[in-house]
Amino acid sequence: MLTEFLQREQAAIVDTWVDLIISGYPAQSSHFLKEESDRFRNPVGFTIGSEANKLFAALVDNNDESRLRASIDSIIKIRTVQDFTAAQAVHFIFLLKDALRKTLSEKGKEEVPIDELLAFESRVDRLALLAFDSYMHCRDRINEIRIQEMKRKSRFLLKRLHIQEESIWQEG
Amino acid sequence: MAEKILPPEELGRVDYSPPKKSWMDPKVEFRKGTFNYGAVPSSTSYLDLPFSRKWQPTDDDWQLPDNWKEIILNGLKDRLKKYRSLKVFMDICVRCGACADKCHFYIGSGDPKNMPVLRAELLRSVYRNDFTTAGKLLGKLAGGRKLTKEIIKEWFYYFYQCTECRRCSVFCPYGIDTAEITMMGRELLNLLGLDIDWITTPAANCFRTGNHLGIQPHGFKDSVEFAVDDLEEITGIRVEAPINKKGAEVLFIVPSADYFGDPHYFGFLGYLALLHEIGLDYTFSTFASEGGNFGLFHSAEMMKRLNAKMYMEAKRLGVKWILGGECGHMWRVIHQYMDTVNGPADFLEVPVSPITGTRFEHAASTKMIHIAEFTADLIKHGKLNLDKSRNDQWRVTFHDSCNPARAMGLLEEPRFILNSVCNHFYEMPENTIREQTFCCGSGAGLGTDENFEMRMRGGLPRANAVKYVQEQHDVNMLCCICAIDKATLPPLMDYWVPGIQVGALHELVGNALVMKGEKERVTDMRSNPLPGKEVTVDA
Ligand code: SF4
Ligand code: SF4
Repeated sequence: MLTEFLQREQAAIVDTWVDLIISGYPAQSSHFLKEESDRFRNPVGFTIGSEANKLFAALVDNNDESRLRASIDSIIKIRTVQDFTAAQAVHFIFLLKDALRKTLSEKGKEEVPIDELLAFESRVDRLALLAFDSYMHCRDRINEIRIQEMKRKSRFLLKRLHIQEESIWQEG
Repeated sequence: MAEKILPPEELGRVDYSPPKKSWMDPKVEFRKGTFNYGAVPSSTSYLDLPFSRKWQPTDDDWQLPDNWKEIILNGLKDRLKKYRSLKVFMDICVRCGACADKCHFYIGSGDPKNMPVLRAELLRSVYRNDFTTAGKLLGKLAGGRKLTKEIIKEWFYYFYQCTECRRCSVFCPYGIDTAEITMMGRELLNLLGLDIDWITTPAANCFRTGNHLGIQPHGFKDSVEFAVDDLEEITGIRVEAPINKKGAEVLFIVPSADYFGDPHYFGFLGYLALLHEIGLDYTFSTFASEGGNFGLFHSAEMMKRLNAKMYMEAKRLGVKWILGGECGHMWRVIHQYMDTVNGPADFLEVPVSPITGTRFEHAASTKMIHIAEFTADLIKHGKLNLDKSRNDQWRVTFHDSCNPARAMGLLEEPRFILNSVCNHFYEMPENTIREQTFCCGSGAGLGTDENFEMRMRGGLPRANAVKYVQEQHDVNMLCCICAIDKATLPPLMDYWVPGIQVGALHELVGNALVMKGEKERVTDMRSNPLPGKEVTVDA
């Protein structure tokens, strides 16, 4: 059964997954991102590590989307503002398949039915779609926040000129 | 803009690892959202800066003057002679790595060139190549790099990814201050006319009108009167706010955002209430209508030019000493540079609080103190009547702004004030506050709209700590004493930690301050209903 394998090897699979994600950052930084465990000193590495674990567990349990979404959002929010294209930002989800196959080939003692494997991989694909939604949401937020920032800068100037803010800036 | 769209066959590529490259390779890519625009010629020429021209970092050709190499190397030579510290910083780094993972830009981006040690190495490698014997003989082998146009672009990219916050220097066993290296890097770039607009235009405005926004005297007066009206509506008391009053005891200089920006303005109302209540004999000035000094982010010379105007105004108005508002980098200038560049201010007196009699000896030479020190002293002597419950709508945490915290050690005063004016104050984790505070990620001239993504990266460590206290204690306000923070933390919070408002320390003081003869207060400084007064306001 695939589920048994996934539960037994969760640590190994997630560890490989996180390694693959971190190898997408410049090589000189992988040690820091992976090994610095203080969540305040290393928010990027900490978030990737802890959220990857949660994501994997939720995926194995076949949880509903809402549980997956929070973890996806936490990681995507970071990757949206880092030096990545849209494809690179969401690509980390597909790396889970690589991690799974690698662990299977190294540690899989039992026969894993192909249909179960394909079903699990489809769940991973759906996760990628959620990640894309999340990425678009972050981009939208950035644009909204940038507009609000402009408004804040001149708020009391407009008030002084007796200009109703709403007449210039329609609230989004 | 140089944004790359991958061709379809690249999209299918499984390996997204960035190409492994050596730090010595200077190539950078100016992606949208991660750099600042070049300065407009009207500002550079107003300030008589060299090689004023229209240019953008995304241009292939930066139109450098023919003798650009000579200019840079001579500029470096001059500075090595002039600043002993620079020479020492260039020579003594042992690359121990203690600073490497302490920079918020590195933590948020994972980009190795944001490690302070490598940021400094960008300049040091050129120094090594041209100014040391080993470098001259061995070049690359000794860690030297020949100066190229690519290196100039790399400098521009990374010296404008440093907020000069000095967090790294706290951890360096040799006290190397990478912020100072960044400052030198920027000065050298400016020699080639590679200024950024968000620094140069405010500096030009300040030079012309006395403040970064370019507000003229009548505009300043209007703003202050407007605030007096607003405060009257909230408290029922019409305060006096004297402007250009000769012979006043104290000149009060605030950052210009205080009388325009949201949320700065609420703190400005707090100042007006406080100074009225204690009856301080003070004056604003329409010519020193800016406490900030964007010159600091440009060059020592520009910083000196802008700083001088405050002292000239103090002299003209004949005040005894200067009180400064909630600003960050203003205090870096006052505490670390003013005395050498324009001081000592012999024509002023050592600041003495006329209310408590406290003599602020530490300002004996600069004659200028921060309003947080002044207010803390008032509270300590029991001079203020405070009702903490008028801040019960807030669960507050405090962001130590880099300059007040690391450049002037203003750590206890704001906390003492907070504990005196509100009931719910919670600290962020120890390794993210006080001397180790994480920068807002937008200081030193980087707080522009076009640089938004880089700011979000740099601000992640700060936001991450705020998120923690939001989860633990339901914190809903991030209080600070710096004008740049008040402008740049709200978007940072909106992105990373929605639900957190940013506020000024003196906004909370203004809320709590019970003024003689005030009407029953139903709103706070934001004109929002006070806790328990919601119905009254609606009715
Ligand atoms: S901590 Fe100081 S000596 Fe060590 S690498 Fe950083 S700058 Fe160099
Ligand atoms: S001064 Fe601040 S921004 Fe600059 S390198 Fe050091 S930690 Fe980073």
